[in-house]
Amino acid sequence: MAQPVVEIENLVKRYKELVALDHLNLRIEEGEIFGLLGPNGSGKTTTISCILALLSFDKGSVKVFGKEIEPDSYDLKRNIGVVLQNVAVFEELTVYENIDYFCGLYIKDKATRKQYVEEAIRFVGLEDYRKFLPKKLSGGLLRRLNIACGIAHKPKLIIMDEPTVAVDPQSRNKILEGIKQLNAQGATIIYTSHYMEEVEQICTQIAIVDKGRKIAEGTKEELKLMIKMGEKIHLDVLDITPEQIEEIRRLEHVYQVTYEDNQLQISCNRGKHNLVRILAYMQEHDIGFGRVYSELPTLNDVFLEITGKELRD
Amino acid sequence: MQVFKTFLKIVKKKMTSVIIYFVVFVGIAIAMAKNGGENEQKNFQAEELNLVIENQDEGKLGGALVDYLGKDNNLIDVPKTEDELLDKIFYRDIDYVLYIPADFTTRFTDGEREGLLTDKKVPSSSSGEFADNQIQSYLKTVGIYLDSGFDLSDAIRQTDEDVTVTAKTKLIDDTNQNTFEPGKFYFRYLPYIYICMLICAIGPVFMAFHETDLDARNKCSTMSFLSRNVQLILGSVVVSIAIWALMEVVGIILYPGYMFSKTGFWCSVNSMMQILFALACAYTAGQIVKKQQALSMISNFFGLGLAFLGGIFVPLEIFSDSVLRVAKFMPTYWYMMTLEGAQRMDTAGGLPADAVQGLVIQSLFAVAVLLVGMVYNRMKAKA
Repeated sequence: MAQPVVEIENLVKRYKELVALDHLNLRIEEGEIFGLLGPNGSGKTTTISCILALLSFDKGSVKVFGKEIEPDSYDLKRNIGVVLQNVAVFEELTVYENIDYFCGLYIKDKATRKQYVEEAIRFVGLEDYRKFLPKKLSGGLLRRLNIACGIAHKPKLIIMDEPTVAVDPQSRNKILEGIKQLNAQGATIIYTSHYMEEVEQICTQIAIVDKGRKIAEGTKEELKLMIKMGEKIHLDVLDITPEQIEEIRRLEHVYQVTYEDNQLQISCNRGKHNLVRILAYMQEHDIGFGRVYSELPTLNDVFLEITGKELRD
Repeated sequence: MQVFKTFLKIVKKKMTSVIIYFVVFVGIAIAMAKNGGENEQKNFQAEELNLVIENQDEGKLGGALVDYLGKDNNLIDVPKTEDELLDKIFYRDIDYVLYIPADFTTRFTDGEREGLLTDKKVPSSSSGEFADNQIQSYLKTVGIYLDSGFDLSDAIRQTDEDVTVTAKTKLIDDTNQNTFEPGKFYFRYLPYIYICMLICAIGPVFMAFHETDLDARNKCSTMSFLSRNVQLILGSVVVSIAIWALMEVVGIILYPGYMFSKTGFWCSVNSMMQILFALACAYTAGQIVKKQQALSMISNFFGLGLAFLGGIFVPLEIFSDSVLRVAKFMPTYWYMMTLEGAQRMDTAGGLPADAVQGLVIQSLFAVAVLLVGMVYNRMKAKA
């Protein structure tokens, strides 16, 4: 088995009484886009901080590229790029100067650095903003600058802590596409977010964390297979009796039915022809309905089913 | 040297406010030095009043009093009308009007001392009080001689002799406040300039480097904590020395003789101690303060506070004992001590002990403030 890029074993981190990480285990393989998904306060940023040796921990071990990481593990840090949750750039420096500064912390050779900085600028699409100060950039452009500062030195492992918070959809797509591209170029990526759509869109492996513990891990398909729900059917219904709702609940493969604001929501397990069966029942009992659509389970459903609460609670 | 170069880049971008401070305060320092030289008052001179005296006395005393008052004051002719007189008093053309009645001498020699004279003056005016004092003083002296058995002529003669005697006065610490030395005035205001300039120039750089997320990003890099901090310290020392050297050059251009004297040398050493203190302040402010606006507020607050309480803007001689006790906790007080000590050096031969003490205490202040900043930084890192 190949050596993992990051290996976390039984990691425990306490803030006085609060247990931020509770025997967390993670194994991140080379070439993955590893999604760390969880609600706010679930321990994502604490995990990242431990991987980067920014925080000491109470128990367990964190290995990066096969070695225990310490604050002075500069040989390991050479291959790590970090994009923090908050934009961390110098307000007084231009776009170019900022990227050059952070790249220069890793790359000493001037010519190489210049080339890397230019590549990073092109990669995030900030060619027209080289001489702009950060305060002149929009939120999305600022996030792109933040990313450029973290990746300019071409690290093998890129850690991104919620890089799309408060970003417009256009910039978000650009960022997500960029992450895929970095991965395609060979970088392993750890991506934390509480936006399940983003994680579904880009991550090849996902760990769901809550209260400092890993509650599930796998590909998005594997995660969805872990839960009972196979399909969720929605129907706009004006009039339906409680008895009829109960009868629908007793249909084959149906395990939950809710009716609220004229919308009937039917959760089915992995049986076949669920929609056909339900529509047939509606016609048979002469129940009028409008819009009908069916949804496959999301990571939110996975989280909901495992923890009993929404990801964004 | 990535951090060092970036340090200088940021300082360069903060130069506008530093230049403004430089131009304004050097301008003020020069202007104050110049004005101080022209207007410095070295000797006491009594004020002359404009007096109107209507003397109807038939004896000698009224005339003698008029002669006495005429020596140190301007005697003005009696206006033609009462309205004209009142107008002149209102417009301060006349300070005092004295009426001496016909029987003044007779009544005075008979032992009557009160209520013999009448006057007109601006109520509660200092000039009125001053004139009253002169009259009372003269008549009291005459009265003492009369009561002692002198006849009127002798009493007047003795009194006239007495009032011509003047006391020899020496102004307090002539070398200190009242001898004008342009170079000294230049150095006097430097601490305020240094504190404002350095907090404005260096404070934002430390503030930026210690901002939580930027600090985290730096910590994630391959640059060691030691290397990063050495470069930051190097950057701040270079900027401080550059500012100090700039002010020295300005001093040399303005006051070459003074600057190349022994006094000038020690004043320069003294100002270097003060810039080290200002550097420590800038470092600590950069650690603690989170916002740029707060930083400029602090530079003004500390700059002005230290300048006023340390005796830079206000002479230490006018401080009460309690204020002086507080002032001793200001590095600027010790700066002023050394500055004054350096002025005495030429006559005494060497730098006085209190001046040396001032240098040492200033350096201790700088170390103390620096330690506060470092401890805060450490606590923040541990939190």
